[in-house]
Amino acid sequence: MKIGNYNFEKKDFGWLVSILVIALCFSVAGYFVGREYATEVLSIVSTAISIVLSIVAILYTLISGSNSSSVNTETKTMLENIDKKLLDLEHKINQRQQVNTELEKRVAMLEHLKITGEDEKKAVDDMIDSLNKWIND
Amino acid sequence: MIWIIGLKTDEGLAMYIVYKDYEKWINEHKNWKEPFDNMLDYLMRGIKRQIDALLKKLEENGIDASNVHIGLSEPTLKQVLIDSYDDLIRLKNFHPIKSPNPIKEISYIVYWFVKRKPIVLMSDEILVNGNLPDDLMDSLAFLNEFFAVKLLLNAAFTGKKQECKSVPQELSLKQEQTLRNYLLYYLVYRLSSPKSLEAILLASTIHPIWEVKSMIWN
Repeated sequence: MKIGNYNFEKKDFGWLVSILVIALCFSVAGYFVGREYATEVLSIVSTAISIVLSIVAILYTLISGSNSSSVNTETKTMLENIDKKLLDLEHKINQRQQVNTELEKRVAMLEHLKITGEDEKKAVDDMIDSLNKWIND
Repeated sequence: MIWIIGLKTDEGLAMYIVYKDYEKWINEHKNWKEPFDNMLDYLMRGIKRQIDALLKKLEENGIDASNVHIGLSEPTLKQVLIDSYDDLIRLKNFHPIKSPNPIKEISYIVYWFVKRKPIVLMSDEILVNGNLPDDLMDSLAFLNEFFAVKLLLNAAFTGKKQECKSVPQELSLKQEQTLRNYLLYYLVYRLSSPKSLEAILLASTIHPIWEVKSMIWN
């Protein structure tokens, strides 16, 4: 960040904030020097800050807890959906495998029938040829 | 359709003559469809060739074959096979065998073939007026038995004659003719069971005058 001719960096801001805080501490301390109620004021201020911080902490916990619960619920639903889709997919793959197996069986049966049919026809032809010898003898 | 004729002699004793429908029988015995259909095809084609050969032989002997009518009943032939395979299925179920051997199979088929007689000589006057030679007379008078002999021989032998040094050719020819004649005579007059046919045929494959089919002894 550039302010006039000076180029402010992160460390410059760090130093500035530290000096201001120290200056504030000295100013407050200087203000309370010699006053009788200084300790009461400090006690009240510190108590108030504690209460505010505790309320902030409680609220932060509640909000983050709520967020976490919501994320958990969404994740669970998503996982259930994924599980359901996987089951569907598995079912479809099984069906496909069954169809494939059945197809393979049918093809094998057809091949067998074709081969057996040809063999049987040839066997009958051979028997007829052989019978012819006896008929014409 | 199944026709059942009940011949009841009394309440406790009944006999049935059964005619079964081919389609129904095949539906009940799906595994036997293939051998059944193949055998039916073999018999139909064989019988037609036998009839053609007979008619041709009549012509060669100077007889007008156009007046000779020989019929073949396909339904009766199917009944022959249904009866035969019913018997064979009973045997197969009783004995630990995969399928009946060819000699047993043809013996049962021939037994029922001779019982049912699917080949019929429609113009039988030729037997009386035809002046036929003896061999033609036999083959026409006993059409079914004549064809059945060939079925039996074809089941066991290749039809190729074997050379046997210990048996002179003259004797071999006599043996061959005797076996044919004996089988024909047996089928016409003596046939009592398929088992007897099976025994005759199996015995004739030992030291035979014809070459035995490879499947018989292997």
